[in-house]
Amino acid sequence: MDAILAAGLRKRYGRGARAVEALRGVSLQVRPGEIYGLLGRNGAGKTTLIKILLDIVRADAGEGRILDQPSGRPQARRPVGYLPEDHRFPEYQTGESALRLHGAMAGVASATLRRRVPELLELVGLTAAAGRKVRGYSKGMKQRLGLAQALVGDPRILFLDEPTDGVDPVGRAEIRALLERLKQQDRTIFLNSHLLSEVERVCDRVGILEGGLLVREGTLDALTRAGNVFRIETAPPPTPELLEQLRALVVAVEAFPGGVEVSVEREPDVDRVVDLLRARGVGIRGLAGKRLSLEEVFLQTLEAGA
Amino acid sequence: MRVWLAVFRDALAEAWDRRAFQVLSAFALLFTLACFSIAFHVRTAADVLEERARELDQLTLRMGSSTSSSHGGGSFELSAASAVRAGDGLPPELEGGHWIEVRFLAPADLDTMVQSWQRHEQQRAARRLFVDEEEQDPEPLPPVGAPERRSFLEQRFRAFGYDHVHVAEQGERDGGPVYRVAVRSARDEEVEGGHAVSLLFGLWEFPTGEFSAAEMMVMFQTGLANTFAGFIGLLVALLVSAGFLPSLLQKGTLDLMLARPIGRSRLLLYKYSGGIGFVFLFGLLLFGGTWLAFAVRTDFASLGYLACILTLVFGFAVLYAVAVPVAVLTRSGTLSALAAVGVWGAGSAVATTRQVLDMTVGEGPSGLRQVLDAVYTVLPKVSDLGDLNAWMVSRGLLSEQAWELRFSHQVPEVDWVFSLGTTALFALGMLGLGVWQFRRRDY
Repeated sequence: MDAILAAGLRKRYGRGARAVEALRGVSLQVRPGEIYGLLGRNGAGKTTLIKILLDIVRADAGEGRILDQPSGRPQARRPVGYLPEDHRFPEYQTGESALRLHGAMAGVASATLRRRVPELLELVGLTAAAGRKVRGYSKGMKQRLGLAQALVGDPRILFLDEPTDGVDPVGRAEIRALLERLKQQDRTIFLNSHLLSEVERVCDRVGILEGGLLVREGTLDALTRAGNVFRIETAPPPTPELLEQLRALVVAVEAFPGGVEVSVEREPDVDRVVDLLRARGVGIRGLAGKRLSLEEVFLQTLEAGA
Repeated sequence: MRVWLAVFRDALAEAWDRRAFQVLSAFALLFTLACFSIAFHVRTAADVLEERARELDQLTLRMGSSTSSSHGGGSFELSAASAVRAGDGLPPELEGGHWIEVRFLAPADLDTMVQSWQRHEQQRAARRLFVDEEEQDPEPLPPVGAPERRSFLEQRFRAFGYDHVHVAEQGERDGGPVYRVAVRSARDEEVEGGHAVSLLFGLWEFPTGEFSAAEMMVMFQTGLANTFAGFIGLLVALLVSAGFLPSLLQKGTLDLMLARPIGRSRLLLYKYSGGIGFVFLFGLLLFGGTWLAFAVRTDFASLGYLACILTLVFGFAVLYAVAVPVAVLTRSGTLSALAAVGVWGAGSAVATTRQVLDMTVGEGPSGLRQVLDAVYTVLPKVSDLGDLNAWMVSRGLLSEQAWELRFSHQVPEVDWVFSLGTTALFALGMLGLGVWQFRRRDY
């Protein structure tokens, strides 16, 4: 059973010439215990997708399911915690009263809530500000309170829309650590973020949404693998003549200080490169398949779509 | 229930934060203190009887807010009032009462007063039925005889609030008939002018005059229920609470709430009921506090007054329901408040126009009348709740006899099933519209 399932979701805002197609048939699955990162530029449809899965926005077509329950049913949201982007707590609430309200709405028993609210406030570093009105909170404090309210129902599935937005680098590292801890607890996390380095560090799988379509999806390993490009560290560096000989074996070759980067047609072709280098008395000090950063993958994907 | 309580607590926190709760509570406390400063002092029974007897020919016709007085036209003299004693030959139920002798200067004087009284009673009946007295041919009056004269005196003194009245003809003195009228009241608080009312802890004291203490209390309580709570309190509560729903519907706030495992209808209705709970608490403070003050200081403690909490809450619930769809569509507290107050004003204006038409042109031009009737049927009849308050308070404070005799004609006859039923239906319709909009919208 998938923790989260989106099947052919479509959503159009507005009518006529001014209509905007936010989603154009998005399908994805998130397995239980997985951290799924959804990337996309502003207006790509990331927030709309989450809102449809939580029944905050109604899809024009397609179906969303949470733990096999249709997402339109209130019960489907029982195991869910949600941190919206640009969320706003009413200013008259205090950190503690906000968590109590959301805990009660999430169906948490009063006795449990009495214990859990201080725990969560401590977890997000708001114990000292628990009784203060939200209007006196900084952006980072509001964001941490938002994270605490997402966790107050002890959810099995977390939807986090830009969770580190407005949080300082220390706070970001804390949130990352928290996400990793939640993953160890076998919770499913659906993460929307602009911070690609953040997604790269914590996500198991990533999807890229562009123009309302899921244009690319896969594990981090699969997405960042740069085809059959290998980086070979040598000692000494290959001579220009040797480089010429290598060019005959591979698609492309490029020298860098301390080695060469070769692009081969098929993975086994790299063995022939190593054999040639060894035969010419060049020592191999390292060999690794070249990886792209997630940012490179993301930009390449957007360029390809453009 | 837990979720509702949590949302209710949140609504109270919001009301507290907007200082609305403090302002209304302070007003409630102020009024409770003011009521605590009111006291009634019983006046000497003989003085009261002499004073009442002097007004034998003053016929006052009270109808709702209007009062008209007329002079019966007779001339008479009074003896000093005396206490009834065992050897006075009066029925035993008059023991503990007082008597007074009335000598009419001429027999015709008494008969003029009797006829004025009979005419007055006819008018009272006609006005109760909203019959135009001037167009109506007056019924011929019966000839005045000894029974009519005795009956007049007996009814007149009963109308002053005496339960037991005994009239005995004492023959003639200096050409004028003399009557001895013995009276006793089991409920002193229902005798006209039987008390002096003291306000502001005795700073201002005056006799209740043509009113009994119980009637005075009815006026105090209906004034509080209709003017302070039913108008000013309701208006302030509407203006303040109209912002509750838009604050929930703000972008960023609503996302947090809608992601919870609660249906949208429940969420909206819980928030709506939070506003109602806030007004209920205000009503409890105001009516509970003033009721207690009246009970402690004046011994008047009627449940009818406490029941006004329900009419306040009902009136608020109806008008607050108007704010629901407006808030859902516009997310504006100002527009929601304006809509609620506007419907309230429109309902009252239509009801008043119908009444004016009734009194001026009777049934009126049929087209206009039909339109007015249709609009009246649809709009909430919040102004009728004032009449309901008056009815509940007066029924709670006055005995059956006093209510029938002195108050029943002041409370207009209202078809409560129609009035409350159509008003409730209007509120349900508004709520339904709000819920329907809220369920179908994207946020």
